[in-house]
Amino acid sequence: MASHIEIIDLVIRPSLQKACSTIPNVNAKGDISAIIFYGQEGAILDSLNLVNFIFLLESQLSEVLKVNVKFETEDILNTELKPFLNVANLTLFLEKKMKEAK
Amino acid sequence: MIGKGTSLLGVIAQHMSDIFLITDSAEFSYADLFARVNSLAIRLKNKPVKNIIVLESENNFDCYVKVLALIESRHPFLVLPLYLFNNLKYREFLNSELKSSLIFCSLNSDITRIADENQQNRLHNLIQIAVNSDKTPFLVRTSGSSGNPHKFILHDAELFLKKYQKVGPHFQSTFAFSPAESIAGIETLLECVMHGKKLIAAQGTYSPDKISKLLGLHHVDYFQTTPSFLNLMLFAGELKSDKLPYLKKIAYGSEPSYSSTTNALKKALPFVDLIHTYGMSEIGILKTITDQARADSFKFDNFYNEGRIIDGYLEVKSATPMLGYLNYINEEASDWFRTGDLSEIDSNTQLVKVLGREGDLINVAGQKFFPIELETLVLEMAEIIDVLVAKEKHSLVGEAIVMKLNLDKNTTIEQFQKKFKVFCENKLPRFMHPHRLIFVDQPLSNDRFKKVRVE
Repeated sequence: MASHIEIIDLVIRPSLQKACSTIPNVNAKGDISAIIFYGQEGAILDSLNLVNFIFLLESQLSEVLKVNVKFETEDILNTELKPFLNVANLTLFLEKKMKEAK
Repeated sequence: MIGKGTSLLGVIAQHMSDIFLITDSAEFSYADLFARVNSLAIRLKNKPVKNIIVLESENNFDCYVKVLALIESRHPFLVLPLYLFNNLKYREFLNSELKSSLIFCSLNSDITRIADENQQNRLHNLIQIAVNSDKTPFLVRTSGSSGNPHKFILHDAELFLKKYQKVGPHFQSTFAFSPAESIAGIETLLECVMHGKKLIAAQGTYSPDKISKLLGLHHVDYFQTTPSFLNLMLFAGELKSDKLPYLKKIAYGSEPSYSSTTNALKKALPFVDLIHTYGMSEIGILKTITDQARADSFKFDNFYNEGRIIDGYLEVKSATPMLGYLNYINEEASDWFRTGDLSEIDSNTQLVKVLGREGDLINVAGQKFFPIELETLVLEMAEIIDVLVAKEKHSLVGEAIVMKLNLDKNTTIEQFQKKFKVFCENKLPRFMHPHRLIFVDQPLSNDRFKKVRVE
C-alpha cells in the first residue's frame, strides 16, 4: 500500500499539474497544501471540471499504482470527509478507495 | 421486363457503345453489361422464386451483373459485405431473422447452379406478397451505426427505376463510393444504368489521395460521399480545383454536415455545386435542393418527395418507401416515415438542418446539445483532422463528454492539449468542455465513412 507521501507525489501532484495544463479554467499556483480543490470559496474546480480531474486521478492511479478505482457520487459529495476540499482530505480519500479496491 | 413499365435490359441496350464501368484492372461497356445480365437473367427467369439470394458485396462488374440480373428476373436478394458474408454466426442470425431459405452466392459462383442444388423452399410472408403482386423485391440492412442489431428492409426496385426516369441525367461520370450492399450503393448503380453513364470503382481502402487521383484520372464530374470523408479530403489538401478540374457536383449525406466543412468546401472548390442529400435505408436517397450559401442544410424537392418536422422529428414522404421490415414491427407505419432524426427548420427559408439522433443528445448537468454542435466548433482548430464526440454515463453530471481526436501528424498531444485548453476557455460554452480526450491514429468513421457514436 502506498504511503501518504507517495499518494501525493505519484498521484495528486502529477494529476494537478496535468489539470492545470489541460483542463479549461483550471489554474493553480503555489504550495499544494494551500489549494482548495472543490466545495469552498476559492476552489480551483467547479462541478463540471471536477469530472475532468476525477478522470485524471483515476487514470493516474491505474497507470502508476496499478489500482483501478471508480469514484462514486456519494464518495465525491461526502459532506463529512469532503474529499476534494484539500490535499490532506484527498490523500485520505484515495487511501480509503485503494484499500477498498484491494 | 421488370414491373409494369421499365425494362432494365431495354435501357441498357440503348447505350451499348458507351462505357459502363472502369475498375482498377478493367473497363466494361454497356454491351458487355447487356450480354452478361441478359444471359444470367434468362437462366434465372426459369427458376422459381423460392429463396433469397445472398450476394457477396464488391464494387465490381461481377457483383453489378448479379444485382441487375436479379432485379431483371425479380428474384429477391440481399448484398452483404465480405466480413458478414463469411461469418457463420451472422449466417445463423440471418436465417433466424429473415425467415426464408437463403442461397449464399460468392462473387465467382454461378447463382443458377447453386439455386438448383438448394432444395429448401421458404420465403418470408412480406417477400411472398411482394413477389405475388409483381414487385421487384430486394433487401438492404440498416448500417448498425446506432448500435442496434441490423434491421432488414424490403424494397421494390421498380420504384427506384421510376424515380431515376423522372430525375433525368445530370452527370457523365460518378464514383462508386458507397459499397454495393448499401442503399446508396444500389442507387448509384441504378442511376448510372438508367442514364447510360460511367461508373468508376476501386478496390481496397479509400484514402483521400487515392480517391482524388481517381476522380481526376477518370474525369468524374459527380462525386457522392459523406461529410466525414470530405473532411478528410479537405485536410489532406486533395479537394483543389487544379486536382479536380472536371468535378461539377459533390453530394454528401448519411450523417449531419458540419458548416465548417461546407464552408471550407466552397472556398476550396468555388465552382462546384454542393448537394446536401438526405437518405436512409428505409426510404432511399431523397431529392433535395441546396442553398450554396448554407450548404450544411437542405430543402426537400417537393416535386419528388416531401418533408416535415413534427415534435422536432423529421418525417418524410419518399418516392421510394420500403415495403416493410422483415425482422421488426413498425408500429407507426403511414405514408410519412418518421426518420428518428431531430431536426430544425428555418421558417423563412424552409431549410432543414439535421441535428442528430435522439440517442446522440448529450445532457451535461441539464444542458443538452448534439455531438455535431461541439464537433463543428472544435473543427476550427487546424491541428484536428477529425473529431468524434460521444458520451458516457457519469454519476456526478449525468453524462460526461468523451472526445476522440485524430490529430495532424506534426502536432504532439502535449502541444495540442495546451492549445485546446485555451480554445475551450475562449470558444466553447462551459457545459461543452470535454471531460475525457482520447487520441487515435485511425479514421473515426466506419467502413461506410459514417461516424459511429456507440459507447
